[in-house]
Amino acid sequence: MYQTIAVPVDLEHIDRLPKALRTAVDLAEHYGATLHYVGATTETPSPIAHNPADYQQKLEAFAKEQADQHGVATAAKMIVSVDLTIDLDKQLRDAFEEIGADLVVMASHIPGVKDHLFSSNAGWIANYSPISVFIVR
Amino acid sequence: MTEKILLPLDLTQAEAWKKVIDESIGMAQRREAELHVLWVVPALERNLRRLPEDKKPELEAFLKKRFPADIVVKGHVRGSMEAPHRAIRSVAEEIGADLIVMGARNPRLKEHLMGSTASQVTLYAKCSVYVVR
Repeated sequence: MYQTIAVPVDLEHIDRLPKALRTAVDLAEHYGATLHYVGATTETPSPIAHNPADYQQKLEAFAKEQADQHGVATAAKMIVSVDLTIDLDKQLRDAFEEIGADLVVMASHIPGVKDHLFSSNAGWIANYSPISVFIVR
Repeated sequence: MTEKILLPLDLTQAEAWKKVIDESIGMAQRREAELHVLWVVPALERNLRRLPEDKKPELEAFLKKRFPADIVVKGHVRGSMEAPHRAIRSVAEEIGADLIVMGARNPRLKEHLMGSTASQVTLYAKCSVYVVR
């Protein structure tokens, strides 16, 4: 039923997302879908990466690690944002559209800077988007 | 402890929810979870002698017909005077649901202003929510 599953991740707090990651892998295995890990970074250095190229590498490494661990197809999709707190919702939506996601699996509350993500984005997806969404709590 | 999946369903439009029903069955089978099917009906009807509980046999018959015997399926009928999302959330908390699987209709003007039932459940439920389109 699903071919492309988008999984928004926060590399900084990846250890706090085990349930969402597990759910995504489970669905990907069942449907033979590809998992696209969507990560957002800023142009400026962050605790996780010096620059976007560095972040891209780390995201790809993470996607590969998941693929090796669970035997599912994965891909990495980076979003570069000037200000994560303002642009992220729209950029996530654009990213889902670009990769052609038919399901989004996300934690309801990606802890840290992006606390606002759930309140606006998950609500928006559940409300208006044509794709299925799995909010993991 | 066995996982519990809650599937809110409007039986008057059961054909429209084929995909979400199939998906909930698959989830329950893979996770060896109990499936709780909830039908939220108006608490009061024009014929005041008809109570929400009277709809239970219809739900039970539907469950028997539509769901495979290899999973545990339980039916709940809940009469509600309020918006359905409140009833869905309160039943989810009563039974201790781990996951709510539900469908969502294409938004019309009302949903753009007020939000759909699915989005209300998504925002305020305490457990995971899977909206199938």
